[in-house]
Formats: sequence, C-alpha cells, structure tokens
Amino acid sequence: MIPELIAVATLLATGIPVVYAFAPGARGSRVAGEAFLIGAGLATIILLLLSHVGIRWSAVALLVPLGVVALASLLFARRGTRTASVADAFQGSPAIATAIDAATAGVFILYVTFATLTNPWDWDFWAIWGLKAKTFFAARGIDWEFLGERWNEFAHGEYPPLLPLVFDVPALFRGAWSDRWTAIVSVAFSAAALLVVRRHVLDDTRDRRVAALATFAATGAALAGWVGLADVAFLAFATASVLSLRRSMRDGDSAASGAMLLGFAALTKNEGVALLAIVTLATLLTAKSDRLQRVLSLWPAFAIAATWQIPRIAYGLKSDLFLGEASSRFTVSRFVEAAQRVAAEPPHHPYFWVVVAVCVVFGARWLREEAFLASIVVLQFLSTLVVYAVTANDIAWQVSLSWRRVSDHPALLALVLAVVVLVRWSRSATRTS
Amino acid sequence: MTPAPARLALTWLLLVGLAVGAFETLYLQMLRAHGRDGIRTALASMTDEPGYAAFLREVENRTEEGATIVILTPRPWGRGAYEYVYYRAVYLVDGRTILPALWIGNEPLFDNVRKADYIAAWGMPVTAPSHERVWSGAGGGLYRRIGIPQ
Repeated sequence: MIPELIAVATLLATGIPVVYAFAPGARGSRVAGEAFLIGAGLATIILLLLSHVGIRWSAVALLVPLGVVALASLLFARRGTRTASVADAFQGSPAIATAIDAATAGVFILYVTFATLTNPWDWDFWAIWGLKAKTFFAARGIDWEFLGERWNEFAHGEYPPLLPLVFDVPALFRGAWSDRWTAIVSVAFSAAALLVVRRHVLDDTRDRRVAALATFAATGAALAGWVGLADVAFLAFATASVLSLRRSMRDGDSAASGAMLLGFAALTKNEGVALLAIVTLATLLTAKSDRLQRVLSLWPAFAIAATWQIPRIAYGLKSDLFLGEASSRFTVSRFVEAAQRVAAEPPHHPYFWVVVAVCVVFGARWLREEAFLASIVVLQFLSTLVVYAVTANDIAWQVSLSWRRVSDHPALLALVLAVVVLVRWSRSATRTS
Repeated sequence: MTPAPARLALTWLLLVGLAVGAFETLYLQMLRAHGRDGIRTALASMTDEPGYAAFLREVENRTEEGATIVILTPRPWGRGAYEYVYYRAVYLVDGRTILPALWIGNEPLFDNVRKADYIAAWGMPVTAPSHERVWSGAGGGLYRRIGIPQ
C-alpha cells in the first residue's frame, strides 16, 4: 500500500502550486481536491509525452518533469495575481457542520474498507482499465501494438488513457505491478470530488451546515463502488472542471484551471470528450459577455485532449462513437427508445434524483443565474441518450448494463445546482419578509 | 409567498432529503451481513471461477516468456462465457501472447490454434496429433505444439 500512498501524496504535492498559480480563487478543500486531480492529469501528460518521444518510463523520468512543473508553478504563483478572497465569514453552527462531516468521514471509511478488501473485482477493471495499466507498465510505455491488436478489441484500445497511466504511477514507484492496493487511487479520486464539492457549496451558500450536508449527499455518487473503473475519476474531473469554470465565468477569474481539468476529463473517458463539446456549447449559449473570448480560453482543454486523440487517430484506433458508423445508427425512433429505456430503469439513488428535481422546482426562478451549470447537466443527460441511441448493441441491454453507473456522472453537478438554487429560494423569503 | 420560517424548514428538509436519498447503504448492509472475510470471499469469487487463476499460474510457469498460447474451453461466445476465460487469461498470464480460439458469433479461429506454441485447455481434454501434453491438473491441461524448441 505504501507506493500507492506515496503516489497519491506526490500527485497532490505536485498539483498544489499549479492550483495556486492557475486558480487564484481556489480556497480550502477545493485546493486539495483540484491539486490531486491536476497532479494526476500532469502525470498522465508526462507519461504520454515520454512514450511519444520514446523514453522508457521510470520513477525518475516521471518525477523530474513533475518537479519542474511544480517549481515553475510555484514561481508563477508568487508573481501571479492571487487576490485576497472574501473573508471566510461563514454562518451556521460549526459544531453541527463538524458532526455532519464526521458522518461523511464515517461513510468514507466504510467505503475505503469495502474498496480495499481485495483486488479490484469488476470485469471492466481487469478487462479494460487495469489490463491496459498492467500492459503499459510491462512495456514501460504505451503499447500501441497491444492496443491495435484485433484480439484485444475488448480492452478498448481507443479509450482515453488517464486512469491506466495513473494506475502506473505507484507501479513505477514499486518497480512491479500489483493489483492489490490499486483501489487507493480510485479512492483518492472519490475524495477529490468530495473536497471540491464541499468548498464550492460553502463559497456559494456561506453556510457550513449546508456545505457539510451537500458533501454527505455527494458520497452517493463519489463513493459509488465502481472501484478501479474510470467513472469515479471522470466524475471528479467533470465536477471539478465545470464548477471551476462556472466560478471563473461569474468572478471573471482565469479559466485556466477549469480548462485544464476539463482536458483531463477528456483524457479519462469518451464522455469527457463529449463534455468538452457540451461545455463549449454551454459557454456559447450562456456566457453573459465575451462569449468568444470565454470559448477561446478553453484552449488548454482541447490541447490536453489532443495529446491522446491525435496519436489515437494516427495509430488507427477507431472510436466508432465519433465516426460515421455510429451516426448512421442514429434515428429519432432509436432516440425515443433510449429515452423510454432510461425512464424505465431506475438511476443509481432514485430518491436523490427526486429530491434534486423538487429543489430545482422550488428554485426555478434562480435557474437563469445558473444557466451554465443547468445547461451542462441537461446536455449531459441528452448526450447519454444519444450514445444509447447509436450503440451497436441492443439498446435495452446497454441501458440495463450501464445506466446506474452512468447516471452518477452528472449527479454532483446536479447536486450543487439543486442546493444553490434552493438556498437562494430560501433566502429570498428572508429578504422580502 | 411561503413565509420565511416555512421556507427555512422546507429547505432543511430537502437538504436532509438529498443526503438521505444519496446515502449508500450497500456497504453497511454487506459488512453487517457477511463481515469483512465474507465480502472478501464473495468479491474474489466474482472475479475468478474456482481454480481458474491457479490453472493460469501453472500455464505461465510452464511456458516460456514470449510464447504464444491459445485458449480453448467448451463454452460458446456470448454474455461472458468464452470471453471470460479468454480475457482473464490475457490479464493474468504475463509476458506471453494470449490468443482466442473462438470469436464473436462463435466463429472458430483455426489459424490461431495452428500458429500458437501452446494450447491451454480449461475444462476439456485435447487430443491432437500435432500437440503433446505438457501438464494437466487444476481443471485443465497445457499442450505444446510438436516441433517447437523447448
């Protein structure tokens, strides 16, 4: 377990100066959450680049560039325009918030116990994410021959590589591949998602109790049990990036950190590539000013996504979702069938979604202020339906296989949206009465 | 308009509702019902059919680094039957090239069987004049193509 813990600590330590340099508004637990995510993303980029230029992976080959990036960011952060944030004057009893946080910590410990009882057991771990990590580690680089081999189609060579590459970080420290404690890396992504949600809700509502309750509610998706799968990492990157971009749009801050996180989401799952398009569209539709400039400020996301998409295309790894084959399967009737199947299949935590809907109904007046966030949640659902509509498999089978897991992807963004508009609705009565 | 105290109460009720609705009871239920050892055994059995991992360890131990091994088993392709045996071998057997003998639609891949250095047969005996048995046990057998250097 020690190499896994060292790996998590290293990625966290690398990310902290980067967050301070590129996310001047980040405070408190958001710094820790984003720092781990950015550290994981940077490690991925470095391993990818090492592989592209033919340098064999090693702990030193990874750590030296990570250290250089961290030091450079430290210098940049000192010269940067980090402004003093609003004083941390929060309302709500700290004792109640601490009690709720203790309950969240209890759920987290329970989850860690469950996740680390044995080797990751999910088929998708050992047939996709873990298999590629193990194969790349053995080759000390991206094994393009393995990815392109016809008989390895099941491993989805075309899938973005962030999670396998992050799994390889502790293996490089250990000098050997081990399944046993890989779950520690999954758990770190879950923790990052919780930390990010907590601080964004706190910054928005200024109420410790609300932030603590929202964090507890976030455990439903962040600790969902998909141990060793890319869904948890994607959830963390997607949530952190969209919330960071939302903040930068509202406060006029730099979008660099959010754009980086968005790019890392696109390096994690194909849903991240879809999210890139969704965020671009949402920015165009909802930015109040400088729309084009806002969209252009997303360039780091596209550049990061390109570090995988360009070589993937060059090596002929086809993702049928983005090619003609899939679009030719799209028909209105298949889209309607996908929607019907999804409606008939309960999502993960259905009561949570019912309460989210009720909160949004009460806070509907404030949805205009949250148009960016709301449109992304809606577009994420629509893109999921489109993916089901164009699947090469039977739609009913595909929905039954994945909907519970996929329904978690927008859950934390929907949670923040629901909490923020609900609290505004509540406070509007206080102001008017 | 809803009075402020009522709104406040409703807000807290909904916030608690979000937390309760999202609470994952699965881990607590499993730990209470089965204990850590019970869950560990259950999860491990989800991953590996009894004996299969041990069989693959023997296959790895008795073949050379870089060898090509084709996987035979009397199961059809579909919904995790043949695929499980094949994919699991790809994951667990290091440093060897693992090939399938069956493909989507139950298409037999005779070429793979012909060109492989070894046949690893799980749950079935193999009788082939072109191959000699290297080892059997743990629910399967390993067969070497005659003529390949040992």
